[in-house]
Amino acid sequence: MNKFIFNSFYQYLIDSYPALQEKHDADAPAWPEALLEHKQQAFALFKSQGFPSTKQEDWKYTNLAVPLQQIFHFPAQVTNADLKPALASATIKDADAYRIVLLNGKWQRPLSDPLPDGVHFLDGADALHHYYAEEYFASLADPTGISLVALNTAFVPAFNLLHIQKSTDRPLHIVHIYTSQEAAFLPERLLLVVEEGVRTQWIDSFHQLTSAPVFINYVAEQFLKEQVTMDVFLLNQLLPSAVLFHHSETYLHSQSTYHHLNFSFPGAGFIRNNINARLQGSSSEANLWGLYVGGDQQLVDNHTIVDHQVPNCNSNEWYKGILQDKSTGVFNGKIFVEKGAQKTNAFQKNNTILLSREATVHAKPQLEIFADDVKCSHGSTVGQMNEEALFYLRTRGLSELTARQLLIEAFAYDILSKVQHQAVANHVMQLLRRHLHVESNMLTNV
Amino acid sequence: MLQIKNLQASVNGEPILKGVDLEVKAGEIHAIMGPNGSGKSTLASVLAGNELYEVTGGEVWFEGKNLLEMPPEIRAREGLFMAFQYPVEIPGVSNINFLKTALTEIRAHRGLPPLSAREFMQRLKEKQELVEFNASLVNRSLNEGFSGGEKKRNEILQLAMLEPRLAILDETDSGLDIDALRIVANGVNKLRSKDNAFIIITHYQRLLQYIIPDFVHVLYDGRIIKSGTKELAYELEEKGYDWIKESVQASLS
Repeated sequence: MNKFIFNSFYQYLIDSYPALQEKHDADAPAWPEALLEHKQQAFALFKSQGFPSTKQEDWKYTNLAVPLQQIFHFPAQVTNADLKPALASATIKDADAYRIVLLNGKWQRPLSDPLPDGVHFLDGADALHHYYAEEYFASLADPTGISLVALNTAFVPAFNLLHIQKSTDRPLHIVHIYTSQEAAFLPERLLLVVEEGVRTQWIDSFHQLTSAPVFINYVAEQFLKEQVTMDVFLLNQLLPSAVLFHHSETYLHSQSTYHHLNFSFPGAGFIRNNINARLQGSSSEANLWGLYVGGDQQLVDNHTIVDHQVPNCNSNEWYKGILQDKSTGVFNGKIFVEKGAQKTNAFQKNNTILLSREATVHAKPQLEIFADDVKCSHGSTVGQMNEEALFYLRTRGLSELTARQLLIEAFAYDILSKVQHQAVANHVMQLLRRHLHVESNMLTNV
Repeated sequence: MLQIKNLQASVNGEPILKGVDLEVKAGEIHAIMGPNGSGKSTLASVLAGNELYEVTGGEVWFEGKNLLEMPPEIRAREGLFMAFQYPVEIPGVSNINFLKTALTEIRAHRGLPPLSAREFMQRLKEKQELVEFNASLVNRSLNEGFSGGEKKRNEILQLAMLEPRLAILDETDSGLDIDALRIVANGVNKLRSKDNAFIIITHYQRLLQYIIPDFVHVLYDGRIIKSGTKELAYELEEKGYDWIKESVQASLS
C-alpha cells in the first residue's frame, strides 16, 4: 500500500485548481504576488503527496481513506442560512464574550459584536494586504511539509487575520459555523498576531447547521510576542457528518505563556487535531490540556507537538479521554528538546478511561531529547471505572448511575479545573453532562 | 433489626464465612472480634453488598426485608451504613457535593424532601461539631489528602449526617492514635440511641474501652464460636485468641 492516497476527491481538487486561480470576487480576492508563491508551492506539494495514508506513522490509526472516499465539492454561496439559532446555542452564558461569527470561514459582520479597542479582525483583501500578511503567512504551518496544510494554503480563498494589540477585559469568541446542502470542502485559515505584553483569552468553537457532510480543513498560525499570556478554549461541537482536520501552530517569543484547552465531544464523526507549540523565546511556557469525550462511532485523534528550541522554557501537557460506545481515541504527544535547550522542564500525561468494551484508544507519548540538563517526564494510562470507588459511593446511597456520573466528572475535573474562566468552565461541564451516555454504556458492560 | 442466619460466603471460590448466626436489636451495640483472617471484614463487606463476595448460603433480614436481594445503594437508603476500614480517596468528587447527593437520595427514599443548601450546611456544621471533625471540607475532594485518622473521622461524620438505623464499623480503630480513637468513640457514643444499632468489628479490645458493647462475639474460621458480654473482650485481651481456638478444637475432637 502506498503512503499517499490519490483518490477521486484528490483528482477533483487537482482539476479544480487552475480555474480557481482565475476567478476572483469579494469572497475570493486576488492574492498579492508574494503570497501567491506560497499557494503555488503548496499546490505542488499537495499534488505530489495527496492525502496521507495509514502507512504514514502519524496517520497509522486514523484512516482518511474512509471519510474522504466521496467528493467534497467547493460549496455554492450560502445566502439564506439563518444563523441566529446556532449563534444563540454557541453563545456561552455569562461569558459576555466579544463574538466573531464565521460562516464557512467567512466573517459575518452583522452578527458579530463590535470589538474592543486594540483588537482587529480582518478578512478578504484587507487581511491579504495587511502588513503582517507577507511576514507571517505560511511561515509557521507550511514548513511542516504536511500535505493537509498544503491543501489548505493552496485552496483557501482568503484568510482571516486577528491582531490583538491590547489586553482584553472579556474573552473573544470565534464562532465557526459550517453549513452546506451537499458534501462540501471548507478550507479556513487564521493568522493571529498578539502584541507584546498582551493578556487575552479566547474561545474557539466549531458548529454545524446542516447534516450534509463537510470536510473542514482549518489551519491557524499564531504568533505570541514577548510577555504575552493567552488562553485558548477550543470547543468542538460538530455533527457526525463532519470530517475535521484542525492544525494550529503557535510560536512563542520570550516570556510568553500559552494555555491551550482542547475539548471535544461526541458529535463530529472524524476529528484530527494537530496542536503544536514552538517555544522559540527563552522563559516561555506552553500548557496543553485536553479532554476528549468520544461517543458512537466517532474517531478523535489528538496529535500534539511541544518543541523546546531554546533554554529555560516550561511545558505541561495533560490529555484525558473518556471513550464510550464504539468510539476510537488516538493520542500522540511529541516533546522535542532541541540541542542546546538546557534547563527545559517538559511534562506530559495522558489518561484514558474506556467506558465500553467496544471503545478503543491508541496512545503514544514520544520524547526526543537532544539536551542533557533537562527535566522531562511522560506517563500514559488506560483504564476502566474504579470499581472500589463506585462501591464506596453506592454504600452511601448513590445509585450506580449517579455514582458513575460523579466518577466520570471527577475524572474530567483535572482538565476542567484548568479553565481559568468560570463561565466557560460551567459551559464545558454542561456539554460534558449532555454527552455522557453513562446509562447505555453501563448496560453494554453487564 | 438484623437477623443473620447461617450466612455463608466465599471469595474467588474460597469459602470464608461458613455459617454465621447473629441477631442485632435496636439500641444494641455488638462487637465482633477475632484473629486475622477469621472473616470479620468479609462479614462487613457482605452486609454492605460488595459484589466481590459471593453469598453461597444463608439469609440476612434487615428490618423485615431480605437484605441480600438489595443492591448496595438500596441497603444504604434502607438505613445500613458501613464505615470502611480503608475509605477510598476520590479526587475530583467534592466532599460537600457527595454528602449532599447521598443525603438527598436517602431522604428521597424515606419520602423526605431535599434539604436546602442552608439547612444542609447548618446540619453539616452541627454534625462536625458533634463528631469533633473540624477539618474544612469545602473545596476539598472526598478523602483526598486526608490522613488515615481524618479519613476514619470523615466516615463517622458521614454516619452522623446520614443517620442510619444500623452502622457497621469495620476496624475503624486500625491505624488510629489514642486521641483519634477517643474522638471516634465519643462520636459513636453521642450517636447511639434506642432506635439505632452498631456492629463494631475490631481486632483489639482497646476501642471497646470507649464504646461499651452490649454483646461481644468471637468470629473464628468463618463462624461465631463464642458470644458473651463486655467481659469477654477483656478476657480476650488478657489471654489472646489461642485459648478459644483450643477450646473449639477440643470440643470438635
